[in-house]
Amino acid sequence: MIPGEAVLDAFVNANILVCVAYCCWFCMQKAMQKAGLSQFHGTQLKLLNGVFLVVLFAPFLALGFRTLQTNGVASQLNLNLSDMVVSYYLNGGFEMKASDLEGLIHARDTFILNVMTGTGVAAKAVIGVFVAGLAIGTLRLIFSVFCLYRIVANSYGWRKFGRVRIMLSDRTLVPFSTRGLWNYYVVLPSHMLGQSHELKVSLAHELQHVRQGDLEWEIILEALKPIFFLNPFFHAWKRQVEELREFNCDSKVLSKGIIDVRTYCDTLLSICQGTLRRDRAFVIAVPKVTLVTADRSSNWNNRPSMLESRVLSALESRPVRFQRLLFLTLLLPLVTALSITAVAVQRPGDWSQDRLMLSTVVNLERLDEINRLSTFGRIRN
Amino acid sequence: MKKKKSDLLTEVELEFMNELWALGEGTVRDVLARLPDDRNLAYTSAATILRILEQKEFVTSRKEGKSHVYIPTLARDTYQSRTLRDLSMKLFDDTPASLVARLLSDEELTEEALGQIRALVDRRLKNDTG
Repeated sequence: MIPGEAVLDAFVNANILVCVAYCCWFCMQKAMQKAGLSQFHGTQLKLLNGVFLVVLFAPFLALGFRTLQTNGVASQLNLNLSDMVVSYYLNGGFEMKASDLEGLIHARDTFILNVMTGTGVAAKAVIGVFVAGLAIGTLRLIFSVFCLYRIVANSYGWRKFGRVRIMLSDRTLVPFSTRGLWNYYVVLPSHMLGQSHELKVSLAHELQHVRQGDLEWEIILEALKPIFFLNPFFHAWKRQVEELREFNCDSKVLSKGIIDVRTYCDTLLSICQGTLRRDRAFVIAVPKVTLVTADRSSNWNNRPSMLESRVLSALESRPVRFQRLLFLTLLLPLVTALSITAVAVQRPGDWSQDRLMLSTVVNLERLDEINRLSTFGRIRN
Repeated sequence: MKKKKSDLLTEVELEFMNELWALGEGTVRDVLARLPDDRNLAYTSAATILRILEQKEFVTSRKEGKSHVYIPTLARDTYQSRTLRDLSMKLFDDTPASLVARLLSDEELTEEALGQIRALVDRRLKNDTG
């Protein structure tokens, strides 16, 4: 395979895996909710992040499996999805015209070849949309990072401990945290110095984000957004991460018992009010993790707003136990399912017996079709 | 990147500048002492606000013993003009006449205040022509 083809193939695999991984995680989350474990936000977030790591490392998993098979380990085990479908078909598992099945099996190869050579209108449209989206997304990301850099650079240093810098800014109405190559930055609106309760809540919340590693995940997801912008499951994924990290952060801060629930919720509400006065540069600036954001989408659907859900969750918050055990128990089936999918969606290597057989059947079908045609192009009765 | 200096003060900074303008110069404790009792501001927070004001070049400081004495570098009048210019530009399409017209149409303006405004305008006109 030429490098470009290999990259495109890996990209297609990654998109398939993101869809499968999100669906698996979604089912797991629903099962957790049914089992009364919806308060385990930390576990859900860790599962989501863990599953994402599997997606990121899927090419290496597939490569490892192939290397093992080449070295004679589990060489008889065929996990390739298209090979399994062909085998099932040849064993009479379902009825379909052999040429149609072959077309379906080769659809992906055909698509990759068309995109690589720019053949056909559909392939050209896909290339055009992807390149335009990638360019716009990348430029937007660069501009957003620059906006964020300007906000942080124009803020005033207040405290520093270890790698954490606490800054005060006139430019922002909402506390947020971000990170550079080495240091973490917690940026607070300078007017907060006069509001001790809000200051305490904001600091506790943002430092919890730093501790949880939310900034790193935000950077990874923002960096991948221009590449996966066409995949709706990626956007759903990012939204889930954003929601869960806030729920988890809220419950972690409240579980320490230093801040009471009322003060916490009051702060969320009062800061959210401030976000309604939007500063464009602040809204654009990424990657950052804010204390609260005004969710306007809930105005037109029946879903409760993010803030409402957070306040309700904070009020109902109770200590959760055995989080690590539950995480490991649930992670195992998810990782297994995704690892198998990662290997299954790979393009098949050599011609297997079954695929040779399918090709023969297709050729026989074609011969039969030719035989049915007269030499004058009329169908024989 | 060179830090972009803000020309205007935030609410809490303005509160501090007002106290410094009234005092002429003062330490963190002097400013804190003038704030209302219910303000409940920590010493470190007040010191930070004054330090930010110094970085914004609204005040300078000199060391006296263990504490810093802060001195405004900008007169209150100058800041008032700056704020009005900003307000006129942002809210009144850069036409000060609209700003004054809005001020004069305020029904809460007393006869006495209107008289004072008239006297100010007359004085300014006399200075410009004379």
